[in-house]
Amino acid sequence: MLNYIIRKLLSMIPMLLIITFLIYLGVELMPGDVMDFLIPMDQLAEMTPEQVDAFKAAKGLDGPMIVRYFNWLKDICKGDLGYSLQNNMPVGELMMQKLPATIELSLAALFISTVLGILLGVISALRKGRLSDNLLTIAGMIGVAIPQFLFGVFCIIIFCLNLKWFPVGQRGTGGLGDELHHLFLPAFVLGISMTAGVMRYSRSSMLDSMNRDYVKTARAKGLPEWKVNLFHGFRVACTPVMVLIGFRLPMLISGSIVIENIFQWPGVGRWFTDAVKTQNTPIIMSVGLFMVLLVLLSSLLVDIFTAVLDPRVKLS
Amino acid sequence: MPENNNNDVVLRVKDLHVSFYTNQRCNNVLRGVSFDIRRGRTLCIVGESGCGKSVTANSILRLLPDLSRIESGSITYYKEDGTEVRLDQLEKNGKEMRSLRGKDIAIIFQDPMTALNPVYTVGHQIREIIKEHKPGLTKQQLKQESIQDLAEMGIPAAEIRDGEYPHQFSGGMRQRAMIAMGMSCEPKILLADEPTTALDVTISAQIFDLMNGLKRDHGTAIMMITHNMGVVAEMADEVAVMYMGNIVEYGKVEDVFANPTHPYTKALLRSIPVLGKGRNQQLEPIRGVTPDPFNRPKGCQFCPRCDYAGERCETEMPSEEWVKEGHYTRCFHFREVMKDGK
Ligand SMILES: Nc1ncnc2c1ncn2[C@@H]1O[C@H](COP(=O)(O)OP(=O)(O)OP(=O)(O)O)[C@@H](O)[C@H]1O
Ligand SMILES: [Mg+2]
Repeated sequence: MLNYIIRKLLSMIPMLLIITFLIYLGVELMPGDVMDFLIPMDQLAEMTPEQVDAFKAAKGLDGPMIVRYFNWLKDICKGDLGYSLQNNMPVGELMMQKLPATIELSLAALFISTVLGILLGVISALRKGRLSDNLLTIAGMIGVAIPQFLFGVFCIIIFCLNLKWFPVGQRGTGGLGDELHHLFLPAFVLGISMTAGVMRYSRSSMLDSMNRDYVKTARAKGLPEWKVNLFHGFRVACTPVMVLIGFRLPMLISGSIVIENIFQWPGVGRWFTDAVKTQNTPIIMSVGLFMVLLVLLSSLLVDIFTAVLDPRVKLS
Repeated sequence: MPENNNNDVVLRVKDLHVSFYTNQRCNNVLRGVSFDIRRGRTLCIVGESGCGKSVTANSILRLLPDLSRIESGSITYYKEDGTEVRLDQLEKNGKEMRSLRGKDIAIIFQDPMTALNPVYTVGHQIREIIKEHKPGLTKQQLKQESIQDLAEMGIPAAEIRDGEYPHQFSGGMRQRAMIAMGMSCEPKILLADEPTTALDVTISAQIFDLMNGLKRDHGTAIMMITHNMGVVAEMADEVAVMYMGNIVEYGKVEDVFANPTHPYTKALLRSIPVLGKGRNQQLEPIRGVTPDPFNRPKGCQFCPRCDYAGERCETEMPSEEWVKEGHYTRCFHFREVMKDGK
């Protein structure tokens, strides 16, 4: 097991290098010049070419892209994420400030979509063909299809502005109750498409499992229906659902960028959009690295999960 | 059907009709099935694929899918204390039915590869049934019982096997584990739905030995489903030949084999190779094809494939004719069939 994890982690390194390089290249190819964002127009117009070059050199913006990428890589290996081009603050420190909000939002969305998705999916499967199943199936289709930003805007208009059930945006500051109050709506919106996906998958997975012979064996043992459903039908059905959730984790992370902007959530996502707008390479690279790491780690998590849940799977 | 209600009879199925409703169409799968299962005896139900053998077994335990219905008839279980339980009238997954499943009547399915849950150890799956019917046992006692059950079914190194998963078992071992599970609460009746179809010949023989041992030592009543006349010859005390939802011939195995009175039975017997007759023996497949269950013949179901069929056969399903004590047939022409010999 440990052996496997280590090998898997090592195999991620080339992937990380390629992806971070591509991100670096992407930033480089963005239209416009970083200098436009760092120095006001009128000042920039008065600077001599020598002054501009000196400024660039001071910020580490000179030289060919390849060289700069490897410089960045060297710093990363030393644990240095660099400094924001805008205000010279260390990126690592800024990240630590922004990260908790994003983690909180993503975990809440993950929790909602896992619990709600599995619950509704299983109910839907057990009541197959009845009204509740049909309604849930339609809701699931809408949930999968609707764009998150649209759904977010609808929710803000309805629940925040009209019904005034939830505050509009921002993170709560007045204790746990207030925090949850602020958290619920953005987390729900962030989790909606994942909830719908998990629900649809749980339903089909559960239906498949309930049609298997071992379920009939379980009934033939005289087990009550709830045990048949839970310990036999659901227990087997939950493995593929967990795999799906693992593979969709990156969706939550990328989704949080959109949601944080709509709900003015002070997290990494919003910070990232601002950085992209101003071509703030150190921030873009740090957040990018973080996201890529999460994606790769979640695939490792999926493997471990599968091995734990299914005795037939051996990690090797 | 035999009316002698001697106390050997543990289960009586009488005039059972079961239908499946798929795609708004009704498939009358069982069309009046009657038979008895007796203590310490083996009843073999034999017939070709799709004739309703599994449906019969599943109706007894009320394990039929939702899209099916018991239309009429009765399934009566005679308990040891003399009370009778009408299984067909019990609530499908209700408390009473559940208390009988596994404890009084156990079932073994055709494919041991899929009948065990892949995510639990074999021991756990045996303990599950013991826990359900004998509550109050400690963990150690449960474990002891499951190991003992496995050992009794001839599984070597049962203590280790007990903690292994089904995928670590071979097909024959799994079927033994299934039987161990079925027998763990010492049921009065064991329903075996083609228990050896998925296994090779030597393993099958071992499984049959096990089942015969149960019959002999515990007086278990066995109903065994097969489509193999050879298995019937080896295992059965009574045999019921099934065709398209009817039992067309029923009787002691020696009577039926010596004097087949239904053209279908006769055809089945002709289609088994006899050892020692050499490779040039004439095996006659049954002429024609099995009818579409949604487009059945009006009268006798076997009529289109039958050499004896007359006008009456086309319009009327024969009722059960008495041949001799305990031997019944559903054929208008059974005397002719008998006279012609095998
Ligand atoms: N789940 C089901 N849904 C629809 N029809 C079914 C179902 N199960 C059985 N049937 C129908 O019932 C009939 C009898 O099926 P059954 O499984 O009892 O056959 P069988 O005699 O056990 O055959 P085999 O030897 O292949 O196991 C078939 O015609 C089949 O179409
Ligand atoms: Mg069958």
